[in-house]
Amino acid sequence: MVYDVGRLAGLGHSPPPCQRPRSQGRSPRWDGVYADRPVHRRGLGATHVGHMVGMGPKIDRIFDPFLFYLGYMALWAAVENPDTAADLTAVLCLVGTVFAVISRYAILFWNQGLHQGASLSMDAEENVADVFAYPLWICIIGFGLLFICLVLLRTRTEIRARRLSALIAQERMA
Amino acid sequence: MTAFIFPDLGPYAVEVLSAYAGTLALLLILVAGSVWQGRKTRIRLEEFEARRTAKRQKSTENL
Repeated sequence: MVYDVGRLAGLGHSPPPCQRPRSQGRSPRWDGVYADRPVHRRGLGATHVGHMVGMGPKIDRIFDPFLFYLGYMALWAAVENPDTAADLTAVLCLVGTVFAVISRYAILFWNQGLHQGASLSMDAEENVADVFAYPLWICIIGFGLLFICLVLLRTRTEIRARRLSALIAQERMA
Repeated sequence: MTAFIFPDLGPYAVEVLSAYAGTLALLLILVAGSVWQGRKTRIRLEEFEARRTAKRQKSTENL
């Protein structure tokens, strides 16, 4: 629910791209949202050549973990013994964790000027506007709570499934 | 209380709204799937344990 409230709030504060001025002047709703960067003057990461260049690294940063997760699920499904599958996927999980950190900071290492800066940063020099920051924080908190709920729910399910299979095996042995 | 005014999304309406709809659908599938799987496992375990307990009671009575 918290996540949905954040999403709705974010949608409610979406600036109308067709009404945004193309001149150098800042729209009051866009104050502080990297309005001085050419990449974002025409909305949603569009550049003067009409490509989503500014969004590329962000999409890439989401797409890489998605591919890792697909690989994780494929590896888990490919191994028949669950314990062996757990061992192998744990190694992949560790590699993925390191890769996630590298992918996060790769933008800073090889910054060529096209990449969008961090939307949330602790320094006060460059921050996203409040109309976007508050829905974003609500979404982050809501998604975190949803993640914790799902982890607990699925852990309980897994414990019950393991208990059931152990009881069935016990009965077969007897 | 101010009414929720639907924003003018301009030429990006299809992309933005389809992204919202897709995310919502995926979240619903994820939550519903987890709840359904959890409920199914719980019922199977309860049925198995009830059957096992009944079986044990029956064998104790026979002794």
